[in-house]
Amino acid sequence: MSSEPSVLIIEDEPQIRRFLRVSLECQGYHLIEAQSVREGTLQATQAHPDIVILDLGLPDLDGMEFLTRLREWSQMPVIVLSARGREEDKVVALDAGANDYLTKPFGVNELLARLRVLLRGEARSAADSPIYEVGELRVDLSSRQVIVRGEQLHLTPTQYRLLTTMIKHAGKVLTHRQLLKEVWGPHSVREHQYLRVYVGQIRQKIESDPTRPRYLLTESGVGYRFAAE
Amino acid sequence: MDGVPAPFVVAVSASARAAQLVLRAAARVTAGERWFAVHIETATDSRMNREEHALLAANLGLAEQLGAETVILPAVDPVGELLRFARRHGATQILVGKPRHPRWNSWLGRLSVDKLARRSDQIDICILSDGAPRAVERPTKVKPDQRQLLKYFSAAGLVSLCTLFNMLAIQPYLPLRNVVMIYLLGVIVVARYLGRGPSALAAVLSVATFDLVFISPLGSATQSTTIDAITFGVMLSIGLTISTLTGHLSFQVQAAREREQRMSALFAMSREFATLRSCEEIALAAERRIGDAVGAEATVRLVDEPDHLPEAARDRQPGRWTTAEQGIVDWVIRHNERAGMGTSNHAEATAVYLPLSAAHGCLGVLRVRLAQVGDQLSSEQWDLLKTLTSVTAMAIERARWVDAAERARLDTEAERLRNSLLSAVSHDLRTPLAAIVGSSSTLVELGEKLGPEVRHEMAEAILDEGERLNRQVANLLDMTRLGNGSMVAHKEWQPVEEVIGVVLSRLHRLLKGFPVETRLGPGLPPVPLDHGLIQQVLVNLVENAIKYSPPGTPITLSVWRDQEGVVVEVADRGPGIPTADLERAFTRFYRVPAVSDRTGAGLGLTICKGILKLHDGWIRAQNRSDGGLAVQFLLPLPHSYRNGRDGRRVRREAALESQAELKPDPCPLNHPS
Repeated sequence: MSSEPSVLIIEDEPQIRRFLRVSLECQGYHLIEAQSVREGTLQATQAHPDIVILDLGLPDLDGMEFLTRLREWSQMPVIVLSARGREEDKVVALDAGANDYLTKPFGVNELLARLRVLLRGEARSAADSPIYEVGELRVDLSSRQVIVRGEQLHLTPTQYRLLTTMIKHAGKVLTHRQLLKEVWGPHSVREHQYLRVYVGQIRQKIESDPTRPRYLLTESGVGYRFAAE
Repeated sequence: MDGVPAPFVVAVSASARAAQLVLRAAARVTAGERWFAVHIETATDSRMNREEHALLAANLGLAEQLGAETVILPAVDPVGELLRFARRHGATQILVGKPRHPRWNSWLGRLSVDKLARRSDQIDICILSDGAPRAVERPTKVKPDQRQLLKYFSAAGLVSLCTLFNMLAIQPYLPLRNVVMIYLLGVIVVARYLGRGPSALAAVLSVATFDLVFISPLGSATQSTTIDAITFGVMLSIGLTISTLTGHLSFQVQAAREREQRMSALFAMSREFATLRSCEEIALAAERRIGDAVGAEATVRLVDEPDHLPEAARDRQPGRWTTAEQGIVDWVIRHNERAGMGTSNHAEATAVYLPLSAAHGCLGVLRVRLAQVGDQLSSEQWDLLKTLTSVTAMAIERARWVDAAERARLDTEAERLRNSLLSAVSHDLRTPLAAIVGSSSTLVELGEKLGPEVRHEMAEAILDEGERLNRQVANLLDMTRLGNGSMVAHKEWQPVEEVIGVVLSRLHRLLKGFPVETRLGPGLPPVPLDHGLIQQVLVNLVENAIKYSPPGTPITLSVWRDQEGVVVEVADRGPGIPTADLERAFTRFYRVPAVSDRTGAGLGLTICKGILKLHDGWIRAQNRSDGGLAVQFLLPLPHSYRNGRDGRRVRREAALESQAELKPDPCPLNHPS
């Protein structure tokens, strides 16, 4: 087994595969290519990639099908590529277990950043550090302290739970539904306005300019992402 | 009774007084109350004259306008029929006019108020006075017409025949009572075939001749007076009974026949309507059927949409409606009521105008014009018209709904097509764009870390995808132009081979790894073609061949002369198209199933087909027997240039021309492969 992380690309468009291959290989990733859901499933079970890049529009079956099948037996991170540009598709994919998404066309930096976050996330959950630091924000999960620009913040229990939930998945997009389920419980998954209110409150406290957030970013129509770097 | 007032019934006859009765009855109606104007049609109705018919129709029309439901009931037993009708409709009151006929008239089938009162049980009988002076009522004595006179003569003739027979065959051999029997037979025959009056005459004549000829040739009349009286009485009553019964019977037969005719007209009409789909067809059929049924000229004029402005009334044959009628038509549509002759609105008109009313207002107007000016519609005709127009209106309404449903379905279909086109197009444009953005961002972000080879590959990818994008945009534009009919082929005489050369050099980057073979048949003439469009056709076909064939397999382009023109074929070694789909491949959004590369919205072949249609040619696909797909298209020569008896000269010219044009560039097909 090589030490370089392996990436499985399931994508039917040869021109997209070509550019992914070139750009990822020069970044030291080991590439496995598949053109259909059938082939992708085979590669995923045989090659055990560290991460999967999945196009949603595939010739034989919908990419969603691959995702639901994969999630039955594996938690390997999946980045979904969607050319549809339709928010609903992304939300459905994310709720079905995708870890992140990219909308075509996308730049290589965006893709590399997502890959890094997901691969590091895998690593961190193993290390399990209680302290999270990004920019001027420092969260100590063991002592429940939140410090911004050197000042300690007072958060309500719900605000704290929301913030730590997002920090746990920093760098990764979380859908409204996922956040509501984790913070408020499975019965509140439709109460999007709760989320908006609390996100607004947290922004007031941690952001220096809440209208242009630095940490708690909005993914329009999909959910929120906590800045990882 | 649940707060709903019970309906009442008004008996309407064919007299001027009945109109008064209707008016007085209408005055008693409270809002929302149902009432019926019923005419009991009896045997006597068959003897009504034209004025009486018109009066009856007017009375019933008046009642209808005042809100009554009008009904004509043929009946032998008028009282029973009227009561049955009232009970069936839950009426608690029957309104009748004061009787004006002598009492004995009721024996002959007229409605008797006494009998009505006696048999009415729970139903109240109200006798309304009409306030009209009695003298007005006496109908003028109708002169017996010639046919009636003939009947009396025939009766007399028959009696004399009986007398003759009696004198020759009975009297000499048999007792006298047999003579009476023969006379009785005569009276019965007269009563059966000639009616009541002649039978009475026959009875009188029989007794008289019996007396004169067989009893009192000797003058002893006094003795036989009693016998005479009995014989006469029996003969008269038998004659009257039989003639009345016969009259009733023939009336019933007549009524049944009319009902049957009405039903069959209705049935035939609804059956025909069921097979028709458009409002126009239904209107035409209705004109014919209604015209036949009432024996008049019927014309339908449709309103475009229910509740539409009257001026939109659709004129299928503009000449058939006068401008003067426009006002009446407007009025009928607006009020959804009938107008014209015999009604209270626009009564001066020479025709009748009925609304085709449906649930959503008036759908059109039916005009009925009787063959002879001055004729009036009878009450039966009104009744029939009412039924037929409502059937017509229902059929038209149904057709309208079917239309609307069809339109909605087409709209949905178009919407679905638009959506799938949009998503296909966005996919087609976004995929090369994604590759361009990705590759160029790789160059920008990671440029210094990439080796020169990789950098070159990226740059090449950008170029390829840019070209692909360009082709896709060209296809989209073509599709749009084909779709709105603005695509025009600017045809010029030129050899197809030239276009092939251009296309192959244009696609040479894409053709890397695909050996291209071109086969040119002998004697290829130039054909009229639009260079740009045919180039697009070839680009699409070659691109498809590249897209669907495994790398390294050959792509063959062949051109040959055909009976009709020049045929071009692009053949590959790909998977081909399922035989069942070969036709469908040229429809929009078709993609070969189960082929991994799905680039393309499935517009390419559709565009090719459109372009060749502009060239009056054809395009078709077939699977090659040894694997792969061959797409052929024909660029036709004009008819005068084709093979034929007189085409030889022009053909030679065309051939010469083609040689001349080909000479400067004998090898236009230099392309990398």
